[in-house]
Amino acid sequence: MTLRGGSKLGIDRQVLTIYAHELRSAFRERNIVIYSIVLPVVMYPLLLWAIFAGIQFVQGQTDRLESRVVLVGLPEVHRALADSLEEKDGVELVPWEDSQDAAVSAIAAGRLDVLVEFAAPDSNGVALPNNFTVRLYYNEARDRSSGARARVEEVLTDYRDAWLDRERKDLGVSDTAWDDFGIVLKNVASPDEVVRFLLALIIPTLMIITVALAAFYPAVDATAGERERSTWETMMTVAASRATVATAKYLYVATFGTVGGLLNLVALGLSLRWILAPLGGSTEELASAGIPLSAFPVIALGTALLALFVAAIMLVLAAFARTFKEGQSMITPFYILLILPSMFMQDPDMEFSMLLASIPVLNIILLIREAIMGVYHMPQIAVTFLSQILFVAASIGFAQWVLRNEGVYMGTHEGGLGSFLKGWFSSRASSS
Amino acid sequence: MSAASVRIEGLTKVFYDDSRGEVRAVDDVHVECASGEILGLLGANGAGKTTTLRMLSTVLTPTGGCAWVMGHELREAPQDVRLSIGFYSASTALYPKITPRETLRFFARVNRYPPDRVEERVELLIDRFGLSEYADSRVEKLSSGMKQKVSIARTLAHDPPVLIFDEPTVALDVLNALELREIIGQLRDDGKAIIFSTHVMSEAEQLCDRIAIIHNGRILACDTLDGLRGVTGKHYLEEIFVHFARDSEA
Amino acid sequence: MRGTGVRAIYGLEIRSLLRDRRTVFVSIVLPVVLMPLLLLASSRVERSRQQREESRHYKYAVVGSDSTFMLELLGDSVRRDGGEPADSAAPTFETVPTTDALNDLESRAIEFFVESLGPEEWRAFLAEDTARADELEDFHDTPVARVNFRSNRRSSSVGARQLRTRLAEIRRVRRDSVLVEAGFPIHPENLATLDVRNVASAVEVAGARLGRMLTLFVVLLMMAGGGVLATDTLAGEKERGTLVTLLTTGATRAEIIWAKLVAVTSVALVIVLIQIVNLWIYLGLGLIDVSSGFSVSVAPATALVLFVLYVPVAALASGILLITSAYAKTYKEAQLLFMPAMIGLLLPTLAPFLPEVSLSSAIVLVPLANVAIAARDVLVGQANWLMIGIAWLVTAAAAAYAGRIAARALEDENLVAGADSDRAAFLGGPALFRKRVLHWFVVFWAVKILLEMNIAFDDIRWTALFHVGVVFLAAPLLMVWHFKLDIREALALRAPKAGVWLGVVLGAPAALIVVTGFFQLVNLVLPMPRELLENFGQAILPEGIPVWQIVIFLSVIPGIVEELTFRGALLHGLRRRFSPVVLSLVVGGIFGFFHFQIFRIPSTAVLGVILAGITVLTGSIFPAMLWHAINNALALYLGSEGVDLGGGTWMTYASASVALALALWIVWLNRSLYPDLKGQLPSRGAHEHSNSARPEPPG
Repeated sequence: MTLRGGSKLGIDRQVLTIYAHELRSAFRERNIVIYSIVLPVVMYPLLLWAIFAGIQFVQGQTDRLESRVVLVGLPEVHRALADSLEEKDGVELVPWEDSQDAAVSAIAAGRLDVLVEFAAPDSNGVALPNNFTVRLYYNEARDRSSGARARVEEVLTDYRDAWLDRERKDLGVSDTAWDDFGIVLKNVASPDEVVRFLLALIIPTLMIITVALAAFYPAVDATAGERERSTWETMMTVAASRATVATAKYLYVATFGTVGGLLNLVALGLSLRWILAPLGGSTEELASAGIPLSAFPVIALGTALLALFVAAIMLVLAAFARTFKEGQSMITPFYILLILPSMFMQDPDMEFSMLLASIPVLNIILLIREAIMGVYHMPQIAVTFLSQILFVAASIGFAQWVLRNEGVYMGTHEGGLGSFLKGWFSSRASSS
Repeated sequence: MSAASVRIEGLTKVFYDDSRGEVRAVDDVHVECASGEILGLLGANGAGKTTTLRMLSTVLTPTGGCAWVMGHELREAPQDVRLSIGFYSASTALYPKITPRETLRFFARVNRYPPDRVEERVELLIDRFGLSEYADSRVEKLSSGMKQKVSIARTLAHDPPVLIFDEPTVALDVLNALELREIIGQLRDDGKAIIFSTHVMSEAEQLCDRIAIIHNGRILACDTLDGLRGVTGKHYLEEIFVHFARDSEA
Repeated sequence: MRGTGVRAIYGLEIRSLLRDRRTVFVSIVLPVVLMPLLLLASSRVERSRQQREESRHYKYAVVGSDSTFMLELLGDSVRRDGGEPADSAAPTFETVPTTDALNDLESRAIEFFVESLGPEEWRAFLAEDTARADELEDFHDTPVARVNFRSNRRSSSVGARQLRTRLAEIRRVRRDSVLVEAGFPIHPENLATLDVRNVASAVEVAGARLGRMLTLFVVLLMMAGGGVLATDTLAGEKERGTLVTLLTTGATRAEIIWAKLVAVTSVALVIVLIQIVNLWIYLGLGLIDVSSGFSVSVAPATALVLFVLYVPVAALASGILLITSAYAKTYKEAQLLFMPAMIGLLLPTLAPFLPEVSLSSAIVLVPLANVAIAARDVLVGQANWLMIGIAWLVTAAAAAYAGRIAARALEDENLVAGADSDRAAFLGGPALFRKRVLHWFVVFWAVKILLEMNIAFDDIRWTALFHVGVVFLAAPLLMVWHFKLDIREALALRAPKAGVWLGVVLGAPAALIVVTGFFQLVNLVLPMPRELLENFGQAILPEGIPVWQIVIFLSVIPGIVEELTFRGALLHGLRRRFSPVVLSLVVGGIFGFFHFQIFRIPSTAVLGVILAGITVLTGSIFPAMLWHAINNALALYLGSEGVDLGGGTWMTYASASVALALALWIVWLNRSLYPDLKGQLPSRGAHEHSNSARPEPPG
């Protein structure tokens, strides 16, 4: 795919030589290897493991906490209710001698969790003997109390249902009439489809992030980094045209973006499947779940196109930098601009329309999402590729135009892309 | 304690390297430098000049031997040593975002120059080094010659009795190097004890009161130029240097 | 320490930062502009999605033998769709005819479909599904509405659930009328009514919600803001050469670090302030409405207390950042260290997510975590000022300590002067192995967890052979090959003294009991969730596999290869980095972490420490291998016999501990130390090995 992107610029042996040289140096540069390769491999398992361990830890801590419940005014005929509360896991009935107000303030202070107060029913309910109404006090600002409320409510509801069931039997309402009809939900999507759906929610955004991240360091390193190490001038004096050098560097940055993105996809796919397993179904069913292999060509092509676009812009921005740090701050705004919309404007129901297919970056997100789910809308895919290729071509053209400037190329230009464009516009304005 | 401003006795620096084992970068060095004297440390690249001066300026800790600067021992009172020296080397850069005036002010303050006389001192240095033209532009905008001058002025911000210059002329053109040599000469006349390292023979010949020839971490000879000529029977410093270097390797 | 020196350096830092316009723009201005924009955009998107969902029009189909009954039931909803919608915010449903419901569902012609099943059909279905056999008992021959949906489509699952709710409501109303018609004296909704009262005020609830997140959020802002200056200030200065300049001036190390710490801290605090005020303005102007839980009104006094509370947090965050900056040789390297530092700092701020953690507990001694909880308490309005004061001091002390560590890095000439280039990296081989062994194990850990997640065979023997036999064998061999190590040296393949074996045979069973006891003990502090606990004892032996194979696959092979990895390669690589005792602890701890389950980590780590200790004492891998194999075999055997080691009395554990001590003593008497350790222990047999175990020859 790099060949295709580069052929417009004229690929020859020299380009390949410099390209290979760049790649080789990159693999020996710790930061680049770590951010582009090691991070996805190590980060996801580590993060997911930490989340899992954290959840289990918190769950263990929560399960250990007994709900401290006080019953006040329980009628003797409903003794069974106290018994079932006592039997309920994690509920502890606390004898309470003090006033009811004291109990309420104990709940507010976190010394008690729930107060269950039984009282006579209101006028609508008095007709039934032994009926009562329950006032349940809890403290929503405390997790333990909220948890206790849920436990107690469950027991109360069960008790009421059993009571109602006894009453209807006494009144001679048959089981069939009482049950009326059953309601069941059935998910006809296979576990594989569910897993893919969830993967499709997460992966495309992360692809954008990682492609950008993986291209970030190489882009800064290939420009500002070289200037810092004073190898830039060495490169300028070899018998290769500037266009050749620029093409090689461009291909190298784009390659890293693509490889980083795809590697990330694989790592994420492998780690997430494990997390999503409980949602999808049994492990055997899931053994085959995941991103279908047939989706990879489309995803890889989409990723490559994205990387070609990102690489071109990043190189233009970093070309103005003289130090690594400067290069970073020049690229960062673009990086943020690239990833934030995709992070915050997620909508799982968004349809891959022709209009969206012509919006760069967003179309790649949707393309990858559908490919993961195994859906291919050929017209949209075609439009996506077409618009993305046009975009890449435009960004390459822009890069070539900017890099034609001596000052930019040699790194003597003061300021970034913004000031360069401003300068260009004002010089045009004054000349015309 | 002798009257010398700087006294180095048996100073040694051993690096331990996993693969090379022991590396003796500086080996049992003895030299002295009095106030109003320029001591030149002459040696090839990797001879141990920089390591010696870095130890003397407390950047590196010696593994053996002692050294006193204005009566303060390196390891016992590194803080007092630092207050008594002005250190300049290729690796001591300037802060790019501040101006020369701010630079001088900063170093005077940090080096505990009496606060009420800081401004006076800054003006004096600007004047003396001819910095007034660009005293208020940021350091990052200056040429390397200008930066060099600011750097030297910076070492003098707190008026230290001892100056340590590690290859100060290495990146300068002929004219700037000449100017710098003149400044160093003047500083000697002000009564500073100056130790500087170089691998340029002519520089050492012109400037130094005494020359210490250092090779493979050892001081091979330390005397005035005439003294060295007498010992070796050679006239040019280059010949003298080669004589000692070959001798030590034979 | 002098004020003038600190002030001068502080002034320099701040001035340099402010004059770096691009950095100020990227790290301060941009976030300030972007944050509200993002919140605005995401809340808009969220709100429009909600609105769409609430007023959605769902097309669905009703199929099945009993569809007329179902259509009648749902008629209410259907009819409503025909006329004007009663409530515009409620979703509407429309039935459409279908010939192939599943196909229509897939092609999105409908969002879901209701299958109306007759009693017989449902009975037949339940009878077929063995897993739902118990439902059959409670089934009373009613029709069943089965709502079919696709959970890989949001609109489908949301719509189906909404229809289910509607159906349940219809059923409830019908039931109630049946009961009333049968003569129930009251309307059923008045039976045992439940009136839930929340005693917490709205402020407290909002405070609890905000308090949980606030510290995390604030630390995130601090890191983002202070990070730029922190990475630049020491690591950047090293790169630019100004650090040496500064270090040869009369400013003390303490002055330098103190000034920089204050500078980073103040930048972090200022950024937090700017961001909070910024948010406040946007919230106040109503430009953004975040979910109601966060629209909390914080009283000025509370805000002030929170600010004071966060000062040491900022100092600690800055201190940690300075440490990473001080230990990095370049700006780039500092950035690389930034990520782990950030994760490490954010972890304790999650403390308020733990249920019911009170500041009046040991947590008050955990820096950051204590302030996070204190902040929550302040927001909820239940502050224990004494404990909050202690929390403040503890975190402040931690910040000061972090500063000291950073200052110590300034004394390290290798870090400051970048003295010698990394020759080990240049030459490779054993010297490099010692440097890189931990990195290798981090990657190995991740690869291992990935493999375990994704590769399983039908036959448990293959699975065991792959995950233990192949993976754990491959790792040490790969390291031996990559770093060109002497395989016998690296994996400690030497014979121990004969007497050691007695100690191993005695020690392994004793250690198994002791470790089990330790597991019980740990469970008190680190309780397992109930569910997990129930599954835990059920790791039954697979049936139909001969005993000798079980022994080979689950005890002999793990005994050999896991030892080669941990007590072999890992211990060899770390031997010069830690003293023997710490070495055993570290090797054991890492071994524990390779047992991914957090509840197993502590106890397996103890076993790992014992095995590492044995290897250090005997200088040989073989005793640990035997010990490990006996341990696994015994645990499997006892497990299959239903013996619960966890049920022992304290006497059991005490006598096992004595036996273990005795075994270790026997090993100690027969020791022949691992060669070339850091700060050798007094030893008897060390000389035997020292000839064969010279440090690697140069090159």
